Amino acid sequence: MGRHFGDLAKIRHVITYSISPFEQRAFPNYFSKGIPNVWRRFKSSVFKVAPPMILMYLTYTWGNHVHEQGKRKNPADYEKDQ
Amino acid sequence: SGVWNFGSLLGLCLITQILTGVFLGMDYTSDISTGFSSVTHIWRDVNYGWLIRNLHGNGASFFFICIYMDIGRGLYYGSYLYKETWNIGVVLLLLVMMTAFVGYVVPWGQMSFWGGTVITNLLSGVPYMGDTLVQWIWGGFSVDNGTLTRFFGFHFLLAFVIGGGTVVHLLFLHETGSNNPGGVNSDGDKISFHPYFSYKDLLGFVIMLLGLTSLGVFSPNLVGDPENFTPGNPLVTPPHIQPEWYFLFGYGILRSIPNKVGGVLGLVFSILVLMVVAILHTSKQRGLTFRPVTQFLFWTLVGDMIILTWIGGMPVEHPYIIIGQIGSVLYFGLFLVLVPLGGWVEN
Repeated sequence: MGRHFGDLAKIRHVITYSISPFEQRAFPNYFSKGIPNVWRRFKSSVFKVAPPMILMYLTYTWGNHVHEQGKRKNPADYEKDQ
Repeated sequence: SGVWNFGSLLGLCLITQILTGVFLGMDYTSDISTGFSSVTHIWRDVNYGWLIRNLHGNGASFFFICIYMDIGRGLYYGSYLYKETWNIGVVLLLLVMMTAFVGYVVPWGQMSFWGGTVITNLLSGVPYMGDTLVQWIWGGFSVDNGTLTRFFGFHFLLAFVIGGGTVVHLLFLHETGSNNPGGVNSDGDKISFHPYFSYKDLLGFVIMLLGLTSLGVFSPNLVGDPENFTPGNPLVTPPHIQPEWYFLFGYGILRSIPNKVGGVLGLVFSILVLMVVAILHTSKQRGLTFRPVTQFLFWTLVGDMIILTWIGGMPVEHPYIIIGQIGSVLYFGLFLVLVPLGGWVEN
């Protein structure tokens, strides 16, 4: 049932190269390239993620504000109370 | 990527819930005169009963976090194009929701009783036989002992039905293999499960269990309702009846439609709409990785669901009513109109 290993795909003309783990650094350029890369990834997605989240937050604060205003009592209604 | 961990995490959630649930079931009694106090007994007297109950209750929240993330991954990367796997996944979501609903009635607190009353009453919207159906489910003329005993039984049974559904879900997934963030065929680029995915999944397990135990011991009542510390009382209605957080978005949609049958249909279709996503896929690309317009719409959907969750927990007053109505229209509009349009535009 389903696909089997050895029969998934035929790939031709692909050459792979590898180097021994003892001949290389484990985490090369982790900070020197990593941090600029995080910034690049942030820039490429911030204008797609942030606007809906900002709109959501504004709706939340506006909604709560309007609701609180609606619960206030008008002092003018109670001026003549003794 | 990391978002592919949620499948195995759901398996872990199910095992955790079943294990903790079986142990809770050893000391729980499903009768209205002893149900609430048996939970108190578990908490206070049973060895580590408080921890088992903690893990089971908060484990349900993590179950829903994982399932919503799994669905989100599926929507973002176009995994729904594996139609059989996806549709069984929707069935699993419905089963998990049903299990969580009947499970919440089991402790027989105020919110257990009244939440159970509100939602079971929705069945009366079914034409012609609605009232009969509700009384059949209740096992009487209101939520009472008959309801509790059978709901406990359903809760126990459904957990294993979910297990069976999970097997079928995986069976279909293994026909095709997993999707990937590029949305491309990966038949020619496989790596062995061990050690790559065994360790990846194990890391996911550790992080989730850390989250679950942290929530359980530092802030166990963070997502719970204080009403459920009061025994269920049919003569006293809580001022704000609301379900647990994972149902609030549907509750928001239900209450936005000022018609009982309409609201029920809105609630039902808010889940069933997932089944038409594959049919409405218009893009030539599978996932959203290279589709900026639809990516924006995806995050709009996420924001909308958070708004609907917030609204579901608010009283039905201005301006929450109109926000909920706009949010509900946007929810269905995104699935049925905007996202298919986005895919067509991007083509």
